[in-house]
Amino acid sequence: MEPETRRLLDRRDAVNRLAMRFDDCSVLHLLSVASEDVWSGPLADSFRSDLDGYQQRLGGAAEDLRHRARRLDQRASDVEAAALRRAM
Amino acid sequence: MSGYIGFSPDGVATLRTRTSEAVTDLSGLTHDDPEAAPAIVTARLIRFSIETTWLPRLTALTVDTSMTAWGAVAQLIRLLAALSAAQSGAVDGAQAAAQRILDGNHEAVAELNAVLAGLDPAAAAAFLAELGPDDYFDVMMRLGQSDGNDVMRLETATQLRDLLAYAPDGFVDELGAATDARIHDWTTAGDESIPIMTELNPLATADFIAASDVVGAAFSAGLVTMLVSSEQAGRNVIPTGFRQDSLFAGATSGTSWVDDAVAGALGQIATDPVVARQMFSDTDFARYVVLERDYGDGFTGMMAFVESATAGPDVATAWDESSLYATQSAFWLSQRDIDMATLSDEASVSASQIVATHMVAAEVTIAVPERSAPLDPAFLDDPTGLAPHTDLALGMDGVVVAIFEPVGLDLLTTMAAQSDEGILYLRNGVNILQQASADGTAELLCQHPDDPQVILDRAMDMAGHLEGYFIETVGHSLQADAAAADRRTGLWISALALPAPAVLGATGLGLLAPAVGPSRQWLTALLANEQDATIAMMNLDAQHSAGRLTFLYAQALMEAGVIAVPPGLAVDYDMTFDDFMLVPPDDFRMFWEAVATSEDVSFDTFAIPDSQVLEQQPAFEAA
Repeated sequence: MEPETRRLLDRRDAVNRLAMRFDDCSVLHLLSVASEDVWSGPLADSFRSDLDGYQQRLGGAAEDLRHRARRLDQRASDVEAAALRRAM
Repeated sequence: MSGYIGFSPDGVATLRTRTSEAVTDLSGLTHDDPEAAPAIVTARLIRFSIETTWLPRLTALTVDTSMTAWGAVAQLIRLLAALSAAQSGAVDGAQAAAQRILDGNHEAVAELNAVLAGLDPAAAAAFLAELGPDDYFDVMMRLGQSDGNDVMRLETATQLRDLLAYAPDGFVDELGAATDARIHDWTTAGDESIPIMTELNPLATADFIAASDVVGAAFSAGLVTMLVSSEQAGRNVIPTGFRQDSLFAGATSGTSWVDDAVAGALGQIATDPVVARQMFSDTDFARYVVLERDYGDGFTGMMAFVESATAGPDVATAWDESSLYATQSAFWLSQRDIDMATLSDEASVSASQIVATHMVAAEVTIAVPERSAPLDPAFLDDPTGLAPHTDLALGMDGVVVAIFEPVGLDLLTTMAAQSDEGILYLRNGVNILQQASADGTAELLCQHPDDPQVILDRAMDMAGHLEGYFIETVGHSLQADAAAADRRTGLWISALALPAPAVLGATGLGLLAPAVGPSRQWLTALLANEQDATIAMMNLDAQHSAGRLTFLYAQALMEAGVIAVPPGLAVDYDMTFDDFMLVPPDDFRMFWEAVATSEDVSFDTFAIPDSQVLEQQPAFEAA
């Protein structure tokens, strides 16, 4: 395997691990704690609305990371394929 | 949106913990790969939002003891929860600007000014709840610090003071405590140990806040108690080296608290008679401020406090207490050396109001001086020591009245006589009592008592003594200035002609006492509009006081039908004395003859003049 391929794959793995951390971020669990039984009223609703927004933005960021990881993976494949073509 | 507002303290505490953990979690989401940059930025923005918007609010609800100390947690959550997003942002902006002012950032004054102007009442309440009373006082104190942008600072301080109209429950009380704490620190520490106190002025700040209608007398009550305690312990209330000037100097509540904080605060307490009486019920405190303490404001603040405790507008609802405090005040005041030349007009009017309200007590002192002297100081602590008084003509049967020692009554009357306004208020009090006594006496005579002549003679004798006492005391109180004495004595005599606007013919103390209050407004308007003309008019017929009083009794007896006037005379019971003096000479003579020869009682037309002269005689003999 080409060193560049190895580097790209390492980056891919790191970005994927980061995406998994985004998936498991504790902010995503706050909504279950901030129920109406705990806090109710317009401001509490605003808090929950913000949490919902955070959830979506973090989910989007995780998807973006996976997309970028796939691109790194693709680039790694491309680099490896080019190396094979040169060797042949 | 949910239909109700509420929270679970335990649940919010857990939520706050989890939110804090989430912030930590988000902080750990870092990576140096360029592909991770957009996601990392997203995480940082979310962390920033939670850290600056939600975590402080949750923290304030759960762990901020300065907030929980005044029980505002529930209020704060309720207030914040009710805000629109825009107003919520304004509250955050105000809070941030206030914190920067506390950090010494002068530019933040303009920020606070701008954001306060946009707060609606709900947001104002939420802002005060978030700021808390301690920081409120400190922000206000720093706004009073001149930095060349004084107009903006004073305007912002006024805005901040106006917010008190929307203060959450308990805030103003705790603001009083915060103020006490600041000034206590200042008065008990050396100048060097609290250097910041030499740059700021908590007394001027307290004075500025006290000028708010919202704050009320309770704000000053705690402060004056603390200051008096400091004074009595020998501590210096106003240490040297502190900052004397303040932007608040021209916008205070009255007597400058910086000059004499105790006098200023007493004046503020006087605005609420309930608080004033509560303060006066501490006998040691009252004795100190009335008897022992020196004042530099012409006794304005102290006398306003005494007036409020003894003769406030609600005096009829707290008559026994007020009577005791009037007794104590007269006793203590008589024991101190008061230079009348330094007495303010306001203090003179206060003295006048005290005597006017307790005019029945004054009458008792004048009639039976030995009843009121000497007072046993131990008795002053016990209101049950006040003997009940009975005067059936006034509808009083076993009613507690104050006890004025003669020397105490003399002093209060002399104080009252130091201003034209004081004389007129006093005069009005006497007029009310004389009218009530005349009407009540006539009413008693209509009930065919066993001793009608005794009742009438005593009443007219008392009327003469009362009149004579005040003529003598008012006049002789100004012996050093003969012209002033003559003028004010004339003012006193002729003011007998002033029509009392209150309920006349009152037959009980419950009506008599409150009548003094409304009279004050009337007299104030009279003085403001027609002072010169009124005095000139009254001086024209200053010689007729005994005649006026005698006619007053004749009128009351005519109206009640006790004495009859032959038909055809140009005299009627409802005519004024001035009109009466213009009736034809024959009618005038026939009227008095008819009065004096009434069948039921013998009306002695010389009784009042004789009593009046008799009352004045000791003074003339002494002179």
